Amino acid sequence: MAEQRENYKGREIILRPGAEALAARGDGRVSGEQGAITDEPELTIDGKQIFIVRNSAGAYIASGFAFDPQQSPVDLAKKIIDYEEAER
Amino acid sequence: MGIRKNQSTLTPAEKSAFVAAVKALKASGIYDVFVAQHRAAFLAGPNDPAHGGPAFLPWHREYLRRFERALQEIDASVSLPYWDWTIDRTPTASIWDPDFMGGNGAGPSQQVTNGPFAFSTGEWTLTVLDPGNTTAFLTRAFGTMGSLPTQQAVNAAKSVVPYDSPPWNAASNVNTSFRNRLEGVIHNPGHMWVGGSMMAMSSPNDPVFWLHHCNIDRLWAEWQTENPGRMYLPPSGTPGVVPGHGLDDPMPPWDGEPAPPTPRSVLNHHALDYSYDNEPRTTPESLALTIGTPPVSASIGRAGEVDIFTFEVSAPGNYVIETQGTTDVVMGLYGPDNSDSFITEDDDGGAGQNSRIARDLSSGTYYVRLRHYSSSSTGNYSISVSASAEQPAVPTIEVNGSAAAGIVSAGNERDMYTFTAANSGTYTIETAGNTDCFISLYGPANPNTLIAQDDDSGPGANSRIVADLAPGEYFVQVRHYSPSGTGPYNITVKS
Repeated sequence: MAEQRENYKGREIILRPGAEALAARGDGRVSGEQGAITDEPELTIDGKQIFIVRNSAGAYIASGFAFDPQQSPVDLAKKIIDYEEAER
Repeated sequence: MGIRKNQSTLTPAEKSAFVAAVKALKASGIYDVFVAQHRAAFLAGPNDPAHGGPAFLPWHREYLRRFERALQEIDASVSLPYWDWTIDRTPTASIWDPDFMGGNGAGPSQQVTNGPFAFSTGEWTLTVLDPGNTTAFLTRAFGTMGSLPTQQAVNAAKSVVPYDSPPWNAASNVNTSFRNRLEGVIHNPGHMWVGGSMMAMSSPNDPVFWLHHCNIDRLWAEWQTENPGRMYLPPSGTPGVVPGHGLDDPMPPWDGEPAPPTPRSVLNHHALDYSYDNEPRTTPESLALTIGTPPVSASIGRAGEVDIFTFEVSAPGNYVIETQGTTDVVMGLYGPDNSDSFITEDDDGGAGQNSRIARDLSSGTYYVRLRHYSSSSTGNYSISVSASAEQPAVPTIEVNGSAAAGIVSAGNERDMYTFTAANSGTYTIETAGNTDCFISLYGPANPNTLIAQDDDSGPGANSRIVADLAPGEYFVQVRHYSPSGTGPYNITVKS
């Protein structure tokens, strides 16, 4: 899977596949959990890393967004952006 | 036994006692241990012992009871209240008053600024947070991310049986998994509607978490009452089931305790020493029926009511239990001599929407549980038991023989077949046709021992079960995938 970039409501979503994210970071840590080593993809919104984790069905949830699992990290990012937009 | 009440009925003193106990737990640090347990469950990802699987309801029942006991060590008069969001569903409902949960978040930060859990009290600082989050105050954003469940949605969820179905996770079909429907369609939106802190892995940071989950637990208890004998699936050891989610699996994080809780150990909430304020205060009395006498008049006088009848069989033989009238009832037969030993169930096997069960029965006491098809409806009916009816034989499917033709002619109809596995080996049970069937395999010898279920593993919307079976008699139940669906089908068994 190649790096995926998408603009949504003026916000930049970047999804890096696990191996690429590891190489870019160079330390093998995924966003969020200190010390956790994984090849999960890395999700950022406007450059800010979003901690994501898969549930038992393979869907993604995020830090602060645990009860609306999405099949793809990008869809999850869009949900987070929708929520942040509504807050304003 | 503690009684969990609807929060809208609490007196000011009861609200005050609950809030005080919660804040005392927070001050002691124990509250945050509970928050951390919930967060840790989510962080386990695919191995989450608490969400997205069959143990969602048992895990939270155990979790809530432990929290309730911790509150009761501070104030023995306190029980968890429940939030019935089908009624109290607006931002102005009394649950959000400043003397109880406090109100909505305010401003871009969505900070809760009033009530006992406002940051400004100095007594409600969030310390256990989701990864990357540093917000130390409680946040809410009512209605930003969807709606609260309606009574109609709750009724639809409660009509789903069985308890759960493969693949035993968040992808389980919500029409064949009561658990996943309650979790995904009813429970998740409650978290999302409150928004803010309630959307997080660390959602118990918002004390309304306990009231929300108390209501979910209440709905499970009601489903259990309406579906006795169909308490929990799957058994431990079922392939593909996450550890902690099988019936007798120890549930993390308590699995290191000398007698760890399991889903089985929490199935009876009365055994955990609590009940709900809308449950019958006493065990419902049963009415004795006499075989061969005229029908007895009865009624479902209250939404969700379950009527219980008994009858004595002194001579083994074939008996028919049936209802009469215009009320759409569902009837379950239990026994002999054990009111929890499920035999069979029928919805519309009689005239119109009446129930009818014809069965060969041995001597003993039998129990009939009767409820309305809709958990929100009432109505009158009559019921009778008669002897010596023609027994509709369970059709036999010949292994490797021609297909048996069947038809699901009414909503919720279940057709039962039997076949004999002469040798140990792999058997394929499969439907054919354009009807979206759902099949369940039971046995050997016992038509109540579930082996496997399937919806669409066959071609199109057909079902297929491939199972390694020992020699013996097996039973296949066929129903439509949709509770209201009907249609013809063929079914075969091949070895």
